[in-house]
Amino acid sequence: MLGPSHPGWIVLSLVLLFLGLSLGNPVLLAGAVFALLSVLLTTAVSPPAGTSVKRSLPRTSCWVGDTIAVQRQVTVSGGVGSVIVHDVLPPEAQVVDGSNLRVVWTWPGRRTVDVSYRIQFPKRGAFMLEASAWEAQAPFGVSRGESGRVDASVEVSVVPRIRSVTRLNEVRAVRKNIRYRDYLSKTGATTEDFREIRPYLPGDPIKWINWKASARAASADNVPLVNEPEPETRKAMWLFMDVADYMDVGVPLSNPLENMVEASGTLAQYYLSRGSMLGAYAFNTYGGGGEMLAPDSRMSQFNRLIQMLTGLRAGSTEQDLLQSVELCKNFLFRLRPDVFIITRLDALYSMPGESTGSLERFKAAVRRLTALGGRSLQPGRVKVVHVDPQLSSAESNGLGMEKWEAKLVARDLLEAGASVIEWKPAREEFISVLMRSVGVYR
Amino acid sequence: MRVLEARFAAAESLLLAGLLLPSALALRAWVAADVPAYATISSLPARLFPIVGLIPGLFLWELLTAVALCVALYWALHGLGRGQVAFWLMAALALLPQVMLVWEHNRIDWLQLLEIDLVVEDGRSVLADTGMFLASLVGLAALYRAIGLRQLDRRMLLQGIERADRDTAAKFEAVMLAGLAAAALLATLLVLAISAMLGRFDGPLHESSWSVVTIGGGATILLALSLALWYRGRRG
Repeated sequence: MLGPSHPGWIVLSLVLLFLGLSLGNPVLLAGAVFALLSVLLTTAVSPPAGTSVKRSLPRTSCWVGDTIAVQRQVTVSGGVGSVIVHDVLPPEAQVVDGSNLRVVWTWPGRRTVDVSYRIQFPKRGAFMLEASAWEAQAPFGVSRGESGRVDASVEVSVVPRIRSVTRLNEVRAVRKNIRYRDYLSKTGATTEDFREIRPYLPGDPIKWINWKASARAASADNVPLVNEPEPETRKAMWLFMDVADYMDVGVPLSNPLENMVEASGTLAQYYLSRGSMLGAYAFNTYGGGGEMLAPDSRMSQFNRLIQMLTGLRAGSTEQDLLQSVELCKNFLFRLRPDVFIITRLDALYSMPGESTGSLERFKAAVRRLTALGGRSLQPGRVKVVHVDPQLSSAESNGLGMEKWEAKLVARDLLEAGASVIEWKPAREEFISVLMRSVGVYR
Repeated sequence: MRVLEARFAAAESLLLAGLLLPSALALRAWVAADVPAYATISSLPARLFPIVGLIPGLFLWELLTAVALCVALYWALHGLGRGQVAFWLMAALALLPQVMLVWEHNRIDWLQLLEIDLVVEDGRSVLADTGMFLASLVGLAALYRAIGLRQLDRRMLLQGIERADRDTAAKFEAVMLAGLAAAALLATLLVLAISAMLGRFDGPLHESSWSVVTIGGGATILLALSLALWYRGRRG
C-alpha cells in the first residue's frame, strides 16, 4: 500500500503532521499517525525468504508429439508475498497442462507447493530447458525480495516417430524367394569369386587393378582395368533428403519436413531389417551444406540415422541434388545402391520463360544416379518421393497450382529415368506407399 | 487484455467516486456553515459571492455530476500518461474539503492571534470528523493500491501468467490491504484513546492540550522511523 518506495505518502504525512502540530489540530494529527503507521507496517512485512525450487524430469527423451511432465516444487521458509516461478521454454515446446509461469502466494511459515506442468514437442530435435528462475516479491508492491535460478539446464531429445515395418515385412516374406536377385547389389564386402574385368572407377580398391590386362589393352585415356569380384548378396540403399526451407511449411506436427523424416525412418527400418546397407545424405540443412551418414548395414545404423534426423533443421537452398550426388559419389560408385530422393517436386517447377535451371540440374543428377546401374536389372532404381505439402488455400495463394506443378516435374523426371512416388501424408501413412512401391518395383 | 483491465478500472472508478462524494458533501457543509462569514471579508471579490453561494444549494445529482467529471478528469490524465499527477490531484480534491471542515478543531487559533475573525464555531464533533478524515485516508490508500494492482495484473498478463494465478495474487493483495488498513486504524484509534485519556488531566503544560502533545509526539516518532526506513530502503 504505502511504502518507502513511495515517498509521496511520507510527504503527505509530513504535511499533515506539520499542519496538525502548528494548528494544534488532533484530526490532522490522527491522519498523520494513520499514514505513518501504514508506511511502517508495509515496510515491516518481510518478503518471502528461503525460497528454493526443485525441478525434475522423469525422462529427457521422447517421441515427437509425446508429453513430458516437468515436476517443480517451490519451498518457501517464511515471509509474506508472492513467488513467481518461471521456466523459459524453447519456442518449439507447447505447454499442454499447467503453466511454466506460476505465482505462488506464501504466508508466514514453511510452505511447499507443487507447480508441475506438462509440455509437448511437435518437432524433433534437441531442446534445452533453461534453468527455472524464481523471484520473490513483498506485498503492496513495496520491494522485491530474493531471486534465483535452479542450477541445471536440461536437454530434452525429441526423436521422430517411425512406424513399425512389421506389417510390410510380413508381406515381403511371402514374396521373398520369388526374385532373390533383386536384392543383389554391390557393397563394400566382396567374395573371392571373379566376376568380370572392367575399367577402373573411382572408389575401386587399388588391389583390384589387373596390371597385365591394363598393359595389354592400354586405351587412349590410360584408364586401368580392374578385376571385379562377385559382391556379397546384400542390397544397398541411399537416401537423399531435401531439408530446404520450402519443406518446413505448414503445421509443425505434419509438414513436408516432418513427413520426410518419417519416410526416411520407415525406409531405413525396412531396408536395414532386410540386411541391406544404408547410407544417407541430407542437403540444404541449417547453416549451409549437408550432413552425411556413412553407409553401414548393422541395425545400429538405424539409431545413427534417427540421431541424424533428430538434429535436422531446415536451411536455405544452397545445395541441389547434383552437388549432393557429387559429394557422395565415392560411396555411390562403390555401392551402386537403390536411391530414394525425398523432396517436394513442386519446388523444382519454374514458370515458362523464368527457368532457374533447378529442374535441369535435378534431372542431370537423376541421370547420373540412373547411370550408376545397379546390379539388378529391374527398372526404377532411382525413386523420387514427392511429399505432398498439404498446403491450405491461403498458403498456396488460393490457386492450388502446386499439384499441377508437381505432375509436370514428375513427368520430366520419369523421362530422365526416375520413378516418382507421390505421397499424400494427409491421406495415408508412408508405410502404405512403401507397400505399394515394393509391390511395383520388387 | 482491455476487457481484463476494465475490471480493475471499474473498481478504481468506484473507489474514486466513493472517495470524492463525501468530500463533495463536506465541501457543501463547509460552505453552508461559512458563507455568512465570507460576507464579512472585504478582500473577497464581490463577483465570487454568487458562485460560492450556489454551492450549498446544489442537489445530490449535481454533486454526482461533479464527481463524475472528476473521475473523467482522472482517466483523461491517465490516458495522457500522467497517472501520478491524476492520483495526487484526486487526493488533494478528496482531502482539502475535509481539512477545511476540521479546521475548527484547531487548538491554536492563529487567525485569532493575527486578529482575523474568520472562524464560525458550529460545534462539530471531533470524533465524527476524525472518523471521516481517516476513512478518506483509507479510501485514498485503497485507491493507490488499486492502481498498483491494475499495473501488477497488466505486468503479469504480459508475462503470460494465467488468469487464475493473477486473480489469486489480486485477492491476496486485497486481503493484505484490508488487514493493513484495519491494523493501522486500530493503532491510530489506540493513540487517539491514550491522548484523549491524557487530555482529561491538567499537567505541567497547563492550558495546553495534552491530546495534541501526545498525538503530535507519537506522529513525530513515527515520522522519524518512517524516514529512517525509507532511507535504508533507498540505500538498498
